[in-house]
Amino acid sequence: MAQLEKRMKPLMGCFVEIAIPQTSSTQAAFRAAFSRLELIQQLLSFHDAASNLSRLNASKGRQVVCHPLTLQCLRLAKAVTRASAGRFNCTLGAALTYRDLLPAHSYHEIYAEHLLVAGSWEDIQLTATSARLVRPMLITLDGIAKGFAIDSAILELKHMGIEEGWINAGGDIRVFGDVVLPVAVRDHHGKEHLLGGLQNASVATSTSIATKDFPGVLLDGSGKALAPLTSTVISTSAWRADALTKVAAATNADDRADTIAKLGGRWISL
Amino acid sequence: MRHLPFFLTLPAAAISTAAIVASAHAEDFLTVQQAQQELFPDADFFLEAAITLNDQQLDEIKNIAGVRQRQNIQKAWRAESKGQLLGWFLVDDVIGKHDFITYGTAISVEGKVLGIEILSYRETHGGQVRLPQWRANFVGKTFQDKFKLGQDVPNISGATLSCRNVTDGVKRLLAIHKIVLSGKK
Repeated sequence: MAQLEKRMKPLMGCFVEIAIPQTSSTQAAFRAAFSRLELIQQLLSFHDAASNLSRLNASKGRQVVCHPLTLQCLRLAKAVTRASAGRFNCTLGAALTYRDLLPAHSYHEIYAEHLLVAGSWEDIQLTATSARLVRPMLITLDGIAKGFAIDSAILELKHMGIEEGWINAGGDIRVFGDVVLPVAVRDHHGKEHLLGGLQNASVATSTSIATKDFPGVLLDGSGKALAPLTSTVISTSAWRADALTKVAAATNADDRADTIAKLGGRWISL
Repeated sequence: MRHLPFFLTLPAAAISTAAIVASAHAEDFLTVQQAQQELFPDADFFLEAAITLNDQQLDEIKNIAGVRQRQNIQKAWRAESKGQLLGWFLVDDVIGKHDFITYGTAISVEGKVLGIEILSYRETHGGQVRLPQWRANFVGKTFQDKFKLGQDVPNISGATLSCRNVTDGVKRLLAIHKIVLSGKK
């Protein structure tokens, strides 16, 4: 196994670390992967009022032409919202703005009192080139976009002939190729649990841990805050692991393992 | 179930690699020179040009950026190509609750951020990583085994560390650019 070279940048609100083997194309591959992450941050940011997502949120039911990556992520988010019966819910944007966890921009002026705290997957209409929100609601891709960005950046790396490596975006980790990466989970009490070696898989953890630095709150499908907990899931792709941590958090402890297995992940009990 | 991701019992050959990655959270990524070249690929010369800030300037930075500049000497380099100023490269430290981060920022002549690279990142809580001991813990363990977590901090999933300290730091550097560097040729 080749020696891995690592790079880190502040992106998507956290520190993103990429590790790939040292070859003649390493630098170009780092550049390609980080620019992909930057592009996705630009497109899908709720915080940035000029992002593709924010234009959709402000569109008042109009059709909005979207970047293919935006549509791809929306399609995944809609599918998990549907498959999980709303336990992962990408339409909770307004609920998060009411809690001051996301910026309200000018949404309250645009929608006045009609803004829904939560919508459903059926309210998102997607075509090959555009998206439309049928009811007044705000999409947030916070629960899936980081994983989606990791997957997309790894695809970029693979296109450039990189055969192994890993990306860690603020604790959402995907490992590909021959690399085996030791991973631990930090729970909501700050305690660390060593998991083992991760290979050709992704791990994601959501904790409801509200610190001054990071207002981590987990909501159920209707926008109510859940009791403090740590939710860890492994899956093949990072977007799925990322999204399923929210499904697991909103599922009864007894049903978590089964529910997550049906959706293509593995629930990790710490 | 489709696509079951798998965790393995580590074969002996894989362990050394695993142990190397275990030090990921006390890490040097780039030297100052490497980061300069990465952020200003067209530059042929970097002239060290540290900035000394007086008390009045420190107050101004606080007013513009909303964050306080602690040191009155700011490490900076002029990036030049054939004698022409391309921009500025500034190296700065931020200290969080658990982490100590050194990063480099490239700022254009007009005061736009061209790029940010983390040079080194340290998590200061917990003990130092002691690889051989940690490796011993890992031998022959599978995912299902209950590990006894030692002092060491490998790759952590969860409790995301915000990068706000760095983004606040960059705001400070942009204020320094505005006060001291803008207009320079």
